[in-house]
Amino acid sequence: MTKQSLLLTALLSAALLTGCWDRREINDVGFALATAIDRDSKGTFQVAVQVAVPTALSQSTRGMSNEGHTPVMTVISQGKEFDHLRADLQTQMSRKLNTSHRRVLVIGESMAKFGLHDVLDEFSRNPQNRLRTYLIVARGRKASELLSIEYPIEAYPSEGIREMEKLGLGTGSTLRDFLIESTMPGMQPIVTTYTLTKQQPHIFKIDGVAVFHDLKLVGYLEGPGVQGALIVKEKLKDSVFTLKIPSGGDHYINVQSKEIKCKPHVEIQNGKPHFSYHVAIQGIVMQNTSKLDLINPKYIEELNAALAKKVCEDVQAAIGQLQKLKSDGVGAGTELYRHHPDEWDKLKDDWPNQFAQQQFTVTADAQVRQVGMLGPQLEIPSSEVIK
Amino acid sequence: MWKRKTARKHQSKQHAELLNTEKLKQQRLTSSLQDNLDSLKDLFGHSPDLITRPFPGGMVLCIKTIVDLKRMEESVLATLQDGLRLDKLAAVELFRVQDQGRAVQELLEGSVLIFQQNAEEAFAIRIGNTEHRAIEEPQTESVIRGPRDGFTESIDVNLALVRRRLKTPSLRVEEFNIGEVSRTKVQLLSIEGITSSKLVNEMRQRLETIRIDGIMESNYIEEFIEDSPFGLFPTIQNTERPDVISAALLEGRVALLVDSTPFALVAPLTFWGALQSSEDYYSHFTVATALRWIRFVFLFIALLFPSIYVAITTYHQEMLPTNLLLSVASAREGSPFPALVEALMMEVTFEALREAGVRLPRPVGQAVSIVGALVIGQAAVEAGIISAPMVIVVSITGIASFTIPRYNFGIAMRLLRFPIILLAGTLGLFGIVIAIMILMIHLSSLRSLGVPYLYPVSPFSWQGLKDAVVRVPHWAKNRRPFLLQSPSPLRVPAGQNPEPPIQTPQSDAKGGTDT
Repeated sequence: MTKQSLLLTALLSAALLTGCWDRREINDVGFALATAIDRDSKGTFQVAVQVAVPTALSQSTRGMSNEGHTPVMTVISQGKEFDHLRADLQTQMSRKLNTSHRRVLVIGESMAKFGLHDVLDEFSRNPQNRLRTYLIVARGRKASELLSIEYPIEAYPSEGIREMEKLGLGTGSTLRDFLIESTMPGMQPIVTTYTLTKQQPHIFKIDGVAVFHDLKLVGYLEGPGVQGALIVKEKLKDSVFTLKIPSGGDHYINVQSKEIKCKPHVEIQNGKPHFSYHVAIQGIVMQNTSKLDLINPKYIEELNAALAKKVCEDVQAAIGQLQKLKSDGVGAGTELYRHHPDEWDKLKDDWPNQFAQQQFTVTADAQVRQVGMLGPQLEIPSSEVIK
Repeated sequence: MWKRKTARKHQSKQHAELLNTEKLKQQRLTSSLQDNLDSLKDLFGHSPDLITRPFPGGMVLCIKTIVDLKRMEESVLATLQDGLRLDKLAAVELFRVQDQGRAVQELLEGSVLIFQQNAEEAFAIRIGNTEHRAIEEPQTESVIRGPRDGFTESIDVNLALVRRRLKTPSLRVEEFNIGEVSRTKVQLLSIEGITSSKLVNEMRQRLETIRIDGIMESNYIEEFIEDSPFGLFPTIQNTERPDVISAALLEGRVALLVDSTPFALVAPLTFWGALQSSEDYYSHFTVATALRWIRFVFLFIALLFPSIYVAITTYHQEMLPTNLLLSVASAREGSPFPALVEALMMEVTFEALREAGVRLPRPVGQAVSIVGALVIGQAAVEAGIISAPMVIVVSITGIASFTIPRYNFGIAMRLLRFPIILLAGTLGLFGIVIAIMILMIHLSSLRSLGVPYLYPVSPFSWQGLKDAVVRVPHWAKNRRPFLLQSPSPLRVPAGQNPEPPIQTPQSDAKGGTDT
């Protein structure tokens, strides 16, 4: 009995009295919400960390005035050696820096061109980091500029970027996706790029897709290529296609995409791989400027064909642009690696160049399911409606 | 340990001698009426309520405060006017008394002793006044649907309430008088042919070993016969409801009625039984099952919620969704105490408020709860002493702990919360896991009258689960709990589930001709 109670006392005092717990009260921790990484032409790295300011946050959520009181504080550290920057950041912080709630990682353009080799290890090794952090590239700008703006609709600016990534207008690439795509044989990562709007006050906007090769930024997708890449990745949501159909003359019909499936296929013909992509897309009509009564299935058939054609063009454009950049952002090599590993073995050493020479067939099956609440436009007289 | 127990036995022996009960049994009544009366009067110290009344050929002796004076006058004294004639005595309970011990016992039970000249025996007629509180609705186990009668302080009334529900000659009632001074009546109830004789024997043995001066409430008995005297969890159920007792008897359990308390005891009790309310059986089985699940969920909340809050906010901030974390952080900003201290303070305050509310007279109790709501709720937060999330945690925990239907089981959960909060505050989630493991080990080592506490989950039994995790319809509850070892395990014959009548043209036609 005495032995047991002695043991219990010893255990209890070890737990309670020594105080050697890794307890950290919530108000002794500074939660990083976003990190911006830059590198200037002279090779100086800069890391800017946006840290949440809870008091300011509570004021803004309670509806009190928060003029000049953004609920974030930005801590900036510069240096030639990237590895020391985190320690340097802590020297400016009264609270322990915690990155487990970082939502967004912004890479400046010059930093992305320099390459992320040195950066990524820290992010993948430290258990505090979330792999679900969104990774984006600041196009033509320093990454810290994206974090320095006000974005009043969300509680803090980085939340805005995160929500935009979730909308399906960009690739929605997280750190995890980026790491998977850059280590997968025959695949290269593509991530969303952001820039600032021209009008005052500046806010950030999605500005296309950045293409990486061997962890280095090699270029951007432009125009229809952006949409095409998102279709192949099945990331596109609620995107609007502006279509013309033969019966409608010069008038446009806007169709919003709903569900997108993209099925890659690779087969060997005459000892050479042949890639094909089949896209199945569903859409709903959002706008009809023609005089057509869209209730008529004939026009829907035409719309389907037009949508399918547009989708094929977009995907072809994306592949074409990627081939020019010699970066396999659609993962064609991965398909080859998975289904024909022998062929892949022959091609893998020279895959960037091989990818640029491959033939791609794109087919699409489009289905417009809804025409909205109206057949023809409401405001034109029924005599003018083309049934 | 062994030494201490024998010492205690020795002491109790001395105790019994002090009270002379054994000795009195040896002393037979003498043929001298006066001697008998005098020695009894001496034994009672010439108490003023011990009265004698002569009748032709003898003397009547009784304690006037505990006999029904009206009955004494009408059915005893009136008949005795012409001397004692047994065939004329309108008495339900008539005993022959031959020794002093029995005489004393009968007097204390409320009998009238009739002594005759030159007789070595006396007659005892039980006319004790059966004054008792009216049968009221049980205070501790109220139901929306179900019988509203509750036990009273009178054991006879209580037994009557059970008898009224179980109209069978097989209802076995064994009576014990426990307490050297109080001689409290304790009745062991079982049903011959349903209750395992092992259970009855075990309970009888445990009751027979009790040596105590007095029993004031059934908890005295409970603490003597519990399987784990130091454990927090109750292994014997107490209830105010005769329907609960009757249902338990039908399951093959044993019950104890204790005189002078409305709380009867039922054993064995399992963990799941402690989470059941009698209303589970009076409402639709789907509703009962859903309510049981709510209780399971809230049991965990009552036990763990404050600890989880403390652990996550001080050790594992990465586990919270970012927005929740930031709003918790902004609420905790400027609160002066660590989360651990805050949690302990608030939980203790809550328990104190609850205790004050129970103990105080009802009108004052309400005042306490109003002040408490203001103090715990608003004022503490606005004064910046306590953070707002903590108040929410404490109130949810409070509500959760009140969903546990058995009060003593709920208390156990509430007390266990405090060590777990401490563990959570020192070791984080790891501490909580340790606490749960210790709790699990303890629970699975518990026995209640030999039945494992976690039965039917561990040891596992499909049949048992029908009335633990869910509550199946009464027609599907075919067997009595296996571990109660009932001699007739079959309870409800299978195949009684109601079905829509089969509609065939023939049966329709037949039905037509019948009517």
